[in-house]
Amino acid sequence: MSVTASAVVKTFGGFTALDGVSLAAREGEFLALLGPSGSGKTTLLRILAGLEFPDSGSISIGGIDMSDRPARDRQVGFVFQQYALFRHMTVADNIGFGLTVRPRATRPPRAEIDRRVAELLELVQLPALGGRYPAQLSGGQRQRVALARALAVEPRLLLLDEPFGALDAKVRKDLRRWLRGVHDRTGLTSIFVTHDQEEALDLADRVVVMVHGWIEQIDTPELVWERPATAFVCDFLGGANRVKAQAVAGQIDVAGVRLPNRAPAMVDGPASAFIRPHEFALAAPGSAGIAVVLRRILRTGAQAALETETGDGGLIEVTIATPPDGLAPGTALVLVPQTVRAYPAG
Amino acid sequence: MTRPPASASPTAEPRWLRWLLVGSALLFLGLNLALPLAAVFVEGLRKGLAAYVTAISEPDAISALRLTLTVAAIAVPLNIVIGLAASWAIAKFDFRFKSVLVTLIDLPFSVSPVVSGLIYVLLFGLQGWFGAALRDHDIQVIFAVPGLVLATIFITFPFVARELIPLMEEQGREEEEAALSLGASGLSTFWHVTLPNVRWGLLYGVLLCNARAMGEFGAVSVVSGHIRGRTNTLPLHIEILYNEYNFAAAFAVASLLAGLALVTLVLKSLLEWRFAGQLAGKVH
Amino acid sequence: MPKGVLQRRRSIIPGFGLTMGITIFALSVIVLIPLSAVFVTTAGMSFDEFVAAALSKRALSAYRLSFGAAAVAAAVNAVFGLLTAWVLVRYEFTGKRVVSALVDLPFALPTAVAGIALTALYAPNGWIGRWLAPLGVDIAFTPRGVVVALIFVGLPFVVRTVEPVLADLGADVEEAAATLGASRRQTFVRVILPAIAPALVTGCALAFARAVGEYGSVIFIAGNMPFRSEIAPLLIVVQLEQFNTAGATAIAATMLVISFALLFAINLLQVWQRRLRSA
Repeated sequence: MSVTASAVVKTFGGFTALDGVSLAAREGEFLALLGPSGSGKTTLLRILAGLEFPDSGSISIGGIDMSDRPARDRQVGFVFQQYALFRHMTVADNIGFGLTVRPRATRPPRAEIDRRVAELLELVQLPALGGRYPAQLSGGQRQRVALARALAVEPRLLLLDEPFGALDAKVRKDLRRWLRGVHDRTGLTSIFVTHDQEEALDLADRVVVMVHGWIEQIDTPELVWERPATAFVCDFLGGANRVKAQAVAGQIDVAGVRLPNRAPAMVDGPASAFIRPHEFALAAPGSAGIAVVLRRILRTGAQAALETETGDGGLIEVTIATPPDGLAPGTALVLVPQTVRAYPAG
Repeated sequence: MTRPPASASPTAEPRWLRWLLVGSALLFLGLNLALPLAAVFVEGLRKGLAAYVTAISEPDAISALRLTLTVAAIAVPLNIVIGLAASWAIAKFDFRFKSVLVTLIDLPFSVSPVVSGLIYVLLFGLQGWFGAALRDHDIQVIFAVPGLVLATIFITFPFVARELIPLMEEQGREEEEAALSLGASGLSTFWHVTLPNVRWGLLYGVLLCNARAMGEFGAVSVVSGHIRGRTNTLPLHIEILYNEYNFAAAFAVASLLAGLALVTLVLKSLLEWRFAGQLAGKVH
Repeated sequence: MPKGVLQRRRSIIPGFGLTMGITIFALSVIVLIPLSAVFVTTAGMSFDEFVAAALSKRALSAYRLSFGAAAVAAAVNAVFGLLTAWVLVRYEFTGKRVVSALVDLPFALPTAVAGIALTALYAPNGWIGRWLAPLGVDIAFTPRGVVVALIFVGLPFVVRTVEPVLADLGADVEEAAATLGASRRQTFVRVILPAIAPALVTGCALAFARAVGEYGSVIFIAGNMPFRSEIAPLLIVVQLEQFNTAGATAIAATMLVISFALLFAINLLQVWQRRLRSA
């Protein structure tokens, strides 16, 4: 089912969580809402679910206007950040809950519910745990039960609120891969919220980058990475270094080095240039580029991570594939940017 | 562009139901709590203000008040000492049977007030274990003030400890260990580190302890002998007035204790709102 | 370092001996030894004597009244205590803080004061009693009066035990139920109620235990007629006044045993409740 949000505004007290946000998810798409805390991504997700209502704007699912419908009528599956499993019910009862509360007319017979539950336990790879209680499960297992429970009611849309936030790194990676697999198998339109850019870029068909209640960019992961539309997106993704530069005659001048602008074209004038750590080449002092002094060097296998300091105390991080010999803390260097994305300064 | 539906939030009841629930709760509480409280004051003033003042200032009432205050003035500080000692021992050290100790400290809570008085009659009454010895030395415990004090201490035994034990356990031992490692003595650590940390919980426990000490009836009734002017606390004086059908006077004296109860509630609430983080566990 | 039962790990915190000493001394002298007097005295009675005193017809009626009324009161408090806790935790209304403070009134108000106040309300010529008397409904001086008094006494136990659990119940569990299609009623019955059930049961048990031994609030409003409206604690007092110390002690022993059994059960309940909550 496709999902659209149009001009959604939501304020809490004096705080504007969403400032007229619009987005459209295609059928079967796996969408990530990415942004820092306070960006409004969770609010938007909850509005899509019907757990909050916007001050203005509309929501439609599958072409039908849902703005007035409460959560229980939207047929949306929601996976909560802390899973929200029913502590006093077994895993099987948790998963079957949505089916057992249906009105008698549409409620499947007990045998059918049990069958669905068993099917879902297989899908989430927890076939033997139906009789356990949530307290007896690990975080990753609870996560999967929460997902199975949401899928049991055959939702038209799946919403996940920071699904891996409470798990440790290794479990997170495994589950990430597994979730994508489940999505591909079910073909369900899914939207998930995360503040972890790696996760968003790894999993999503398209990424929605949000900050301060506003959408900065909606694009595929590749485009969001290669061609960030605004300074914020560039800064948020990729750990770029920010340096002062000048836009001159359609090009960007960074400490004497002229490069085309990888970001949207800008008018001439002062600019903030972003250069990612791997987008530098090293040169001897005196060349065109940014003059720095090497502070730390960490050789890790195939690469070296350099921490350098500019004349006015700024820190620039560089990663070099094959560092030249003789690099030691205190060495003077020049960093020559190879790629630059610049945006109007200020 | 849109209006939220009538039950705006998925976790809220429809408005009419909310008002019904609130109304029912208020009705129930009003009937069972507010009304009796009001009755005390209204009935106390039924014969007019002059009679009210007479009732609370006549000699037997005054001596009952004095006795109540005396008993409380002895029982509460003793319970403070015991409570502080018990919570220090339990919170700052590890040992087996800790939960047994806590359960034992809680015991007086589950004993009927009448039984709480009976046990001291069994010990110190004329036929009691120490009855003969006391008589020989002409010491009166039952039917005298010491009996009242003992029964009151028993009843209020757990109050301070119950407040302080979970609070001190929550606060841990690190600050005390830090103080000691810096060279402070045990007493100094207790006075300068522990006590300030628990002062609001202590005050809370003292409030409850005091309210119960001054209001205790059943236990005191058994050990007192009801001797007017000598072994009658305020609650017992109320009973005597009531049994003599002197209702207005009984309620007048009762209103003093009701006033104390209100003060206790106000102070208790204040402590809870302002220092919620420094009080642990509030069920009594 | 003290050895044996009180073995402890080495700690740099001093004062164990002193504080344990004070605690154990106070506990023994004030609580344990006096309580043991009941059992020792009872042990000194012959079995027949004990049964005659503790299980006499009159005593049995008294137990029946004390426990029966306590049970009814606990049940009423379960319903209205839950209602009160719900309203205090979930809703906002003017005067909520005052109401919340008032819930603790039974803890703060002396039992005798409560007793005469309730009698003033429910006596046949009382504030409420006068409306009920013509209808043939008598409350004061009947077992019903005992129940009313015990409702007063036990209310805060249920409210204060349920409140924190209700407050802790995250909104997300209810939202989850809503997204899964449950109506508000279904959510309450199948998700919320089971989650607070342990606390509710514990609160009821506490209210019950307190109500069984209650004296001051009850003796004014009860009829205190033997076999009809005499509660067990009153029977003990009556025996004492008749210098039948042994009889009084026998009944006291019975009540203590039941109280301790209740205490044990409540402790188990609280452990169960804690275990479920820490899931």
